[in-house]
Amino acid sequence: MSEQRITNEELKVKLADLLPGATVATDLAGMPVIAVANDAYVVSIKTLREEPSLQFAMLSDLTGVHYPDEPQPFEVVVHLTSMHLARQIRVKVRAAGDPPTVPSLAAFWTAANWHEREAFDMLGIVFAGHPDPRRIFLEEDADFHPLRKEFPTRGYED
Amino acid sequence: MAESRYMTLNMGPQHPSTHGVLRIVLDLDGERVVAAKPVIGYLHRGIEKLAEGLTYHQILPLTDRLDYTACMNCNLGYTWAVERLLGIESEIPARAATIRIIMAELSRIGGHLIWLGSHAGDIGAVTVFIYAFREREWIYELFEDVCGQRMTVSYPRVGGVSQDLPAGWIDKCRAFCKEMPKRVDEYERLLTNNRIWQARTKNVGTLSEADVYEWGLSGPMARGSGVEYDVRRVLPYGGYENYDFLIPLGETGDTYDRYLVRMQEMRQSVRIVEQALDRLEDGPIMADIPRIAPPPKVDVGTKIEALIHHFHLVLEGFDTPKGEIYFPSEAPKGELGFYLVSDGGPKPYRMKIRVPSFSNLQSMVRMAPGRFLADMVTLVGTIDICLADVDK
Repeated sequence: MSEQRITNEELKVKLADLLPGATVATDLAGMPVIAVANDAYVVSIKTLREEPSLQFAMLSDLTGVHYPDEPQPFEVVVHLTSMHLARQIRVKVRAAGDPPTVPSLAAFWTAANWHEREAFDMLGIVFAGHPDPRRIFLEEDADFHPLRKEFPTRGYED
Repeated sequence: MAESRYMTLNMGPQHPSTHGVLRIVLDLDGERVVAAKPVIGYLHRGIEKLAEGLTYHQILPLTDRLDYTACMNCNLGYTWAVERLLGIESEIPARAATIRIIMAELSRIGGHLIWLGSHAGDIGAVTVFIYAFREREWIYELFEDVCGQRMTVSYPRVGGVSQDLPAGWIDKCRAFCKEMPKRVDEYERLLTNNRIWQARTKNVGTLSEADVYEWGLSGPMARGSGVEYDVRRVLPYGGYENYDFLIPLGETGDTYDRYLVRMQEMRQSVRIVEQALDRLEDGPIMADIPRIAPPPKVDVGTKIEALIHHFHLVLEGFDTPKGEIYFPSEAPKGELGFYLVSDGGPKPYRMKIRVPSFSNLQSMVRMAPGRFLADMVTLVGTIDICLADVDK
């Protein structure tokens, strides 16, 4: 763990400088939230991971959220941890096209492999370039994605 | 069928050492493992989907069913997360906050004891299993005294804890704290210098510091490889910044190091519990926020306002601010994170649970190749997985 302390505001300014085109906001608890365009996603993750003053080298979590009423209904949400800054940040990107697609992060972290498989299984988000794009929890011939909002909690059949 | 020089073997889903329903597809070259592919999902209950249809209070018992070897830590991770979403972290009364630390650390010891007993038992040291479960039962008796439940406790509430400590509980807990380090000495006498134990664990499943980042490992899996990632220290929450404890680290990152780390963590948890008991003050155990915190049970039967609040909370729940938060906490197995997205209503729009076992289990793919088949049992044990936690 590093002794470096940086305020949320300083971190926000720094992130906005390093990631041109990205929108940097904060969530309810002050965690920086970076919204990036689909085609800038991989470059932004690379910068966050490799920039010496940030070093967000740990992929803590990757998941998706379904907003059915929005033009691009699927959002991928990534949580990264920097031991250097003792901080976590959130990166968000909208999946584009049909099926909804986002580039895979498996080339950066092997950890992304299972997280992306889970997001595909639960929400049907496709990760382009994923080395093993199978379902992870449900049976392989399932024809639904349960965390989509139109899926009834009780399922389609008993 | 194509000819292959490797034999494919299914380990599980019904295998005594997998502690749940885990299947590992092994490619074997004689006794050597060439590749291991874990297959999971047998225990998937759709907790995240269920949560979208429940109010925040109703979700709490589901969190018991994540890592059922340390239910208290899952309960607490969730309640802390909801409190952060509501922005009431600073309003939790000191007594409730201290009780939570005590429970979290007791639960951590309990979780580590299950790991120790089953891990050692799997490798052949069955005696340790009996010893570890003796102390685990002691912890569960302490939990039962407080809330009536041993395992699925559902003890904390958003805003505090459900019940105060009963008379005499503090003395019982102190007796446990006094005795527990001696019991850890006992386990260590059985294992630490045991030649068979060392032969089975040293240089087995070695993970480097780079592997920790590569595979997103947390908890003892990260610290065993020398990465000082403990959420309690890196991103403090719930008052942990006010407690004095050490973070044990491994050097070589093998199964033996992770064993040493977890043994030391039990001792450190006892230290934290003792400090918490010393600073436990009298006072309320629930925040005074009627729209969120359940009223005391005795008031529900005697006061009309409390009864109305109780009905509102049970039937409608409480509204939350529109927005989102991510709350990581240090569960016995690693970083337990709750990502909550709220649309302003009484039910989460989306609740993603970042379970530690899920990420940690994936590293099996890295550790297994080149090992003997018999080492697979060691590897399953050293990851310290709970399949209910993996599958959600």
